[in-house]
Amino acid sequence: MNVILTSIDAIYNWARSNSLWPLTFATSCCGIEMMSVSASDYDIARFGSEVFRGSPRQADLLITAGTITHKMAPLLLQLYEQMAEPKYVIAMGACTCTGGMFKNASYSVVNGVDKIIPVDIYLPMCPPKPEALIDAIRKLQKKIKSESLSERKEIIKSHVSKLTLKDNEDILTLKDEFNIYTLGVKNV
Amino acid sequence: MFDIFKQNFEIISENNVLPDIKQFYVNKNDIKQILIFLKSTASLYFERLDCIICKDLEDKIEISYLLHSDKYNTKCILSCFLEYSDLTIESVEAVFKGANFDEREIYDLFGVEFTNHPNLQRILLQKSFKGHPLRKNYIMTDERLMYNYE
Repeated sequence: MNVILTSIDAIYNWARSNSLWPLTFATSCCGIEMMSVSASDYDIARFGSEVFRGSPRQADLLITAGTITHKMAPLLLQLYEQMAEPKYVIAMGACTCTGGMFKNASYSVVNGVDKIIPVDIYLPMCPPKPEALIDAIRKLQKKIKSESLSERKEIIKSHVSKLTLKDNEDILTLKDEFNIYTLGVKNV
Repeated sequence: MFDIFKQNFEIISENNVLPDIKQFYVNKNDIKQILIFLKSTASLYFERLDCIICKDLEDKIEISYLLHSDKYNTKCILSCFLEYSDLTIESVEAVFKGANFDEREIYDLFGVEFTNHPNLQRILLQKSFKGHPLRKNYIMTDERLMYNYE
């Protein structure tokens, strides 16, 4: 059984890792670098990730390119939960890794996107160079190639968001201007 | 060029911010009348409100209106002080339409109440946000956002 699975894994992971489609999600200056990566100079198409999807349903990879504010956090969470498995997250830039220069007592910035969703690759720098993002994608490809179908259930279990939605309808109808109440408060 | 203006209104003090930009301190109750006057007088013609500046001076709040005259290519600044005990001022939305969002932002971040404003509510922060974060005495104590600091 394991012999069959490992040979399937090799083909399956090769196909998956070379067609990582990112979600179009750019919330500030890191987005400019992300655009640069997808343009002809750096050409992310060489690694099969050139297809930036507008819908989370068609995306495998969420690159959080830019600062996440408390007002944006429910929407980021909603996008992450809408993505189909298998899904991966690259925290791009210092803001989404730790809070960056907004770390100390900012009233509006979430200190690290890993407070909200699980992260696979951290890519600090402010903002990262296009080469660095390509490196992050290559590292993610290596990670994908090391996965096995038999581990899939455990991986999916770890993809539960760190915050629970108190009221799912609230976030869908976006009542009260993305009220942070909809997120619930504490980590699970 | 400001002679007509000085004859008609009470000016507390004036100074030059830059050689060609004058700043006038006036009473906060006169602000709307003065803006109407500066906008409609033919020899001044300050037709555009560039921005509204709000400063927290810890014991009081200073609000400045930066005006620009397209016709004469001049600028001037109109300022007034608000005491912490009475943070209200009349809205100038009726004079300059563009002041609408500026005043909402100042209300959002400094907590200054603009009377007669058509839609005075938070514009940048979420509606349920407590406090006014750009004030000097603001301390972040909102428990709902504390997942940030664990």
